[in-house]
Amino acid sequence: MAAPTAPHAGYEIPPPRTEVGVIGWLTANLFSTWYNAALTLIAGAAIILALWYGLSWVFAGADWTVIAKLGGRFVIGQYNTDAACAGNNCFWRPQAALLLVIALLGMAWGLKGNAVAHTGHTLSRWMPLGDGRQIATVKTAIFLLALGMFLLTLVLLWNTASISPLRQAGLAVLGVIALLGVAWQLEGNPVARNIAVGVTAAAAAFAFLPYSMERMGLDVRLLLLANIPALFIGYALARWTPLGTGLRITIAGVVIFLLTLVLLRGLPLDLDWRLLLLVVILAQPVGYVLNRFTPLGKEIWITITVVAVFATVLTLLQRLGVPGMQPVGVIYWGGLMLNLILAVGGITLSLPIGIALALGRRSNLPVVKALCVTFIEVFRGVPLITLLFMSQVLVPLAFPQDFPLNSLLRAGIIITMFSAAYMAENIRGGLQALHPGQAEAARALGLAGWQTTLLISLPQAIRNVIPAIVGQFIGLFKDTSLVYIIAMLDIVETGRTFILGNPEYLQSAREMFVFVALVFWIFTYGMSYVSSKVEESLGVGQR
Amino acid sequence: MAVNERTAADTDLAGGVEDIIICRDVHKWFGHFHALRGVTTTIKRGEVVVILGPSGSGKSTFIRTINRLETHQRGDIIVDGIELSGDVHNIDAIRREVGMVFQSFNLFPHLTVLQNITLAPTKVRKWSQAEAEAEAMKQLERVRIPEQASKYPSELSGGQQQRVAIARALAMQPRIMLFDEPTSALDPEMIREVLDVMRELAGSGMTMLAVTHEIGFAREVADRVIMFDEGSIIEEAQPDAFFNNPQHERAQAFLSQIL
Repeated sequence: MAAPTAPHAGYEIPPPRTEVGVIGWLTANLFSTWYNAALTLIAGAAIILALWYGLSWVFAGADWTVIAKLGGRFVIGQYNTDAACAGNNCFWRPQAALLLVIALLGMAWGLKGNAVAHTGHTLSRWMPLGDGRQIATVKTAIFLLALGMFLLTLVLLWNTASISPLRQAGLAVLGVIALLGVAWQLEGNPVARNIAVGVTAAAAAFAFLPYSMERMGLDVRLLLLANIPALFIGYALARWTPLGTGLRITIAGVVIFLLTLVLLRGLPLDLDWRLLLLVVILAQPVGYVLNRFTPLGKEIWITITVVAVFATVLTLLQRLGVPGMQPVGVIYWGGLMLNLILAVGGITLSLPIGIALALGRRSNLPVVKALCVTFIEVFRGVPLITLLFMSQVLVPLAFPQDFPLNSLLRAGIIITMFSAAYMAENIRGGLQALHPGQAEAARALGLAGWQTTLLISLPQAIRNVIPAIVGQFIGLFKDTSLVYIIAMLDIVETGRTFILGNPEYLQSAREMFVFVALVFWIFTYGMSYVSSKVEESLGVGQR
Repeated sequence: MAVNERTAADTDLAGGVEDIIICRDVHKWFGHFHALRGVTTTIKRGEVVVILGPSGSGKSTFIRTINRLETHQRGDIIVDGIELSGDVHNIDAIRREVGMVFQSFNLFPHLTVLQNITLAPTKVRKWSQAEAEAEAMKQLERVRIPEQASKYPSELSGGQQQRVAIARALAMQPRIMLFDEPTSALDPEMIREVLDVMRELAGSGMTMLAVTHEIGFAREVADRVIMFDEGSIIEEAQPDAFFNNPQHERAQAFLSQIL
């Protein structure tokens, strides 16, 4: 009914001030009712107080020297101590492993996402540039400028002795900015880029930092800096060679993980069967890559050739008296490195194992089903810390007596199995949420049972439970700290034992724990970030 | 292209009188519930059969036994000369020849329209991606939505989704199409676009079995109407005879309710 008192009926009039803008937002979100207003005031006061005391402790009260004192030990634990590596010359090995990982990150970044269009869009929105040629010119100019700044900082670094710490800090900032400038010019998978550039920027900052200068030699700094070319080499490999597909990079990732383990463990050049086994295992992906991407013939022959070449080279080196790499026992592996090795191994293996368990639990075969249910219930029913304890006693029982099963492997197996049991239930939840019509439609089209599972059920199930899966990954990463119970010094335990062993730092336990917590948070937040991006790209919740 | 030859051969045969589906005394139990109680019927090549009946009468169960989404416990079903038994090869062979369209569409939400259609031809028929995509576009044009090929199912209306589901089944070059209440989940204006596609398909000589409540479609397109009640066929007749002069009293009661 059209009321005569509303002459504007049908016309557009601006909304009242309480509905839009700052006032509207405040009214809607903070002061909508009297009790919400009260809650806002109380919570605001609490936050301000907490920030006030927290920040004044961080900047005035805390003594952060313990972090500098521990330095690289947070990262590698006791790896390079006298006990682990006579002569303390093993430091390059974790560094080389880091280089490989950074190159892998670069490859992931170089992998083409839909970022090319995205970057062009952003550019044209933020810059009043006309056509593509102008944009290209500006980008090239910025690229050259950034590259120049980076080279300048490199040259200056070479003569660091005479430079004051303040100037060095300035250099560090300059170097990182330069790196970001270079990175910005390149396109590729944006998520991988953010992570890759973040990690390398941290490496660059550490390389340039004057902090604890006297303990970080030029060689260490240069190794850290080498991460930057490694990143861009990885990027180039993925972008401009046939290596740049998801599958190939995944294979490269597995190879690099194994190589990292070999690097850290060391490779004595006596050819016992374990070494040969390792060579054979490593030869598989090499053979696969050669077979797949070169015109060299059948995979098996290539694998045999590769094994033969490896074996010959190793024998030759041995005959020539090359000592090889001094082995470093896994009990000396520690710090963040240990957490990451366990987490990466556990995450990579627990997902497929969990999927297999979930499918097994839904199987119609009673024996398979019973085995899977038993496995899941046993591993879910016992606390991880108990399982880790038992691993020292029970896991060896499942293998021959002289089987080379060290404590790291045992812990890895237990953490993986524990996580896989939870993973299985997450995936099963996803499978149960599927409409039965999906599998029916697939079967009606003539797809076989395994095709239906792999192509229809699993992709949808996994997509639906990404938050739960990533939650499980994050939990696994944090749980790696529990290996302290079997005398392995992860990042937390490294800090704790250092403080217990150096009573002058007893006051600094708080600072140490806060720092470790921050490190954990950075990694877990990274995982959340990736997961949210993956969800976005898969359109979860939208289709 | 081999694909086209096959279609042409089908059209030739469609005029023949060959029996393509033979059911003899088919029984089906769900636990203690006796869902199909001795169904015997024969479908000829190129025939369009509409199956009617009250809910719970076993009509959906019946067409689902034809591509063995449900197993029958007694009796024989022979589809295109292949007997349906526990033999996995027979089941796979029959499912390749029988396309099915469901009430709830059952498109795969994680795949685009084009991927939905090319999946089975590439994985089951082992066609190349290019071949499968060409066939998919042909079928999408047939159901009149080629412009939606790169969208995801959730971006389409119900009627469009059901037409994609029809195109997906047709891309496998089936000899028989089963429709399980294809329009029951749709709004009235979308029912028409789906029925139009089904009408065109019937005109092309495809053998079709449709469970539907669309009486207009049955009258106009069907060669034969089969009435189910309590798990068995109570009446089989040409549409005119069935709708104007039903013989069985339960058929009369059913028609008086829905007409």
